[in-house]
Amino acid sequence: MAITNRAERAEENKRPIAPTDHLGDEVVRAEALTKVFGGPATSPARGSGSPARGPGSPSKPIRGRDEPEGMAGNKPGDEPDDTVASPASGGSRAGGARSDGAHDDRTRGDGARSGGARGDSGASGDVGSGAARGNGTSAGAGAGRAAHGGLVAVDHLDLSVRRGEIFGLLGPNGAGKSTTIGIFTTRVIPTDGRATVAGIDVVRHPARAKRVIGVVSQANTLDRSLDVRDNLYYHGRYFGMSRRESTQRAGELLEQFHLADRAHAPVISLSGGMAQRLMVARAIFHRPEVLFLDEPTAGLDPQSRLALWDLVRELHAGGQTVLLTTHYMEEADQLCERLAIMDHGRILALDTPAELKRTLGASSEIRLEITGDAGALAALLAEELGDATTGVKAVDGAVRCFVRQAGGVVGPAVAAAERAGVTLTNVLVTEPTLESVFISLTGRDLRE
Amino acid sequence: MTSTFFALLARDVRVLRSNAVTFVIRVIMQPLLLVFVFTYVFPKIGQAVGGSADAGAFSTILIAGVVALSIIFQGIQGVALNLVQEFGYTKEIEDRVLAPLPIWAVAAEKVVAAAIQGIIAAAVVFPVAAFVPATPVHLAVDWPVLVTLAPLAALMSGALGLAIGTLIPPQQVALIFAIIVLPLTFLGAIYYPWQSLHTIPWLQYLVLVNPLVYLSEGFRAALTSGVAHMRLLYIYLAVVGFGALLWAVGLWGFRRRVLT
Repeated sequence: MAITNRAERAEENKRPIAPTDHLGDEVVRAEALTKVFGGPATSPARGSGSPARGPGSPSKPIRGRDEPEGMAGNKPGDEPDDTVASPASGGSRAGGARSDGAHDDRTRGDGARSGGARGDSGASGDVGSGAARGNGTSAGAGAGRAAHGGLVAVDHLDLSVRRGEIFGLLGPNGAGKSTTIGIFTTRVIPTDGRATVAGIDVVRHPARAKRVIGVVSQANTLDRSLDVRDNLYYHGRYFGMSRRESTQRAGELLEQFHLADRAHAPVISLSGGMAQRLMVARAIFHRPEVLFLDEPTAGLDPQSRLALWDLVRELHAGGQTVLLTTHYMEEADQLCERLAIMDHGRILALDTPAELKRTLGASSEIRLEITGDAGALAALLAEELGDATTGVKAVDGAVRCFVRQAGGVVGPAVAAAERAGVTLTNVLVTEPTLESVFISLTGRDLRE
Repeated sequence: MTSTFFALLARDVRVLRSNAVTFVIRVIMQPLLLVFVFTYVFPKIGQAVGGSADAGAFSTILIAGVVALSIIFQGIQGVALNLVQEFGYTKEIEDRVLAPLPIWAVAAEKVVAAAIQGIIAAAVVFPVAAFVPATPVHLAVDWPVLVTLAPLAALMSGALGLAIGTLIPPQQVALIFAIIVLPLTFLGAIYYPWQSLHTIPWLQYLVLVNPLVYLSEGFRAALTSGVAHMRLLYIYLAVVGFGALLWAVGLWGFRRRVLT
């Protein structure tokens, strides 16, 4: 048994990003955005001549087959991404999706509001203390289906991103993040709702919308038939730049992104980090209004990840609006000015990282890793610790207590574990993280 | 929009230029071997091909078929195989799908790029025909037919490639050869005029579903005289009709692949 205090380390990770008060007008907007995979469309997508779906069995799990094929591939070693089985029916609505946020009442009542479809989910291990959040959000409800048999990847999502902002969608694999980005980047046709970028409806006017977006998707989509420089040069040409202008900008960006010495290398010779930098350079080449980054650092080594963060900050400093998805809470915490925590296609909470953590009402998280019945221990702790905690959750072989003050609570918590007859394998006391917020909202951790 | 379209085309031409050597090998091997075996080796070893002893007439018939075959092959090789790969494991078509164009225009660019390759491949047949055969090839070029049919044929082949490339799952590329290329080739009226099939009526009508039949017949009309061929009206109607059908299927498949 080891007691670790990670608070100091967390202290060093201060976010260098300025708060949001310098931000301008709204540049990305979603209204009641919904995507149902499979099954009959609840309402046909507007302006799309494309069939919602090819022949196929609506009952089959949607992973892979229904992702934007050929598009939303995954980096090697990455989890298959983002298609979601949401148990919510078409009629249910996310409660906490407004930009003012993630305040407890709204997210708490959520389960009750979304009705019968979720009533059976019984959030496992969600014991709660006096202030327990009663959200009945399904824990591992698995392949929930909409009433008509489709799978809801994005469920009545409302979103607004302001100019100059770095906005993040944080959630586990399958939360609907990539589908949301897919809609904004014209590759996924929503079942219902409206999405605009810079005032352009992306469903009605995809070709116009493509002018104002820059996209870095999860897969390496560099043009392997062209060398590094030509990947940029031809991209500029696609966007109507003259030969000279495109050549010049390619040169500048190769310098800025530290790729100048690889200008004539084939793109398959690039390392993962270099390829990702080139994809970002290509995405911003035509000076898009909004840069979309879908899991930009998934599969990157830690050093390349930090380098990419720096790059994104640099672009942000230059005024670039960025909308990114991630399932790394550190990335969300370090990089994003505002965050939407997503699960099952809905936004559970939306605010600055600091504010999201503050809503826990806890100064520390005590994590008891055990072998034994975590649910029973959680119930016991919730009772014993009483007002000292703002929430107790059993997740994945561990019990997490969100406490106002760790001092004076760790001892009793450990003692309670001994009495409950479980074997403690580790105890950690940390500052609350965004993962704590996610757990408190869903009863599950981000890695599930 | 047109500048984007031409930039996409310029990209494909750029790739073609940098792969010039492999491209030339790709387009020259098939006509070279066909012409060499059928019009050089067979006459030399006295093998009777073409029914009659008139080997020269056979060479003439064959050349038109080879031109047709070369064009249709570029549709398959230039678009279908590329698309299968780009949709399959490399995903690299994405940057072009995200170019500021409607999806149909991105697909159309693929077809046009394939058509350009098809025209080049067709042109390569002529020097091969001039130097390889042991027996004389008597070409009588009907220019109006040739210059109108060749682009139509090339575009139709590009559309065929688009349809194949978007419908065949990447894991089953080999199927392309078994169920498309082989029947297309052997029952495409390359080696014989379509009308000579009248002795096997069921086959004569069955092969009408093969678009290559019309290309072979069309190039026979454009390049030979005195050889029976289908009426030109039917040929044009069929090429345009198949082209439109394959384009519609190909576009449907393309959308299905790039949009969800």
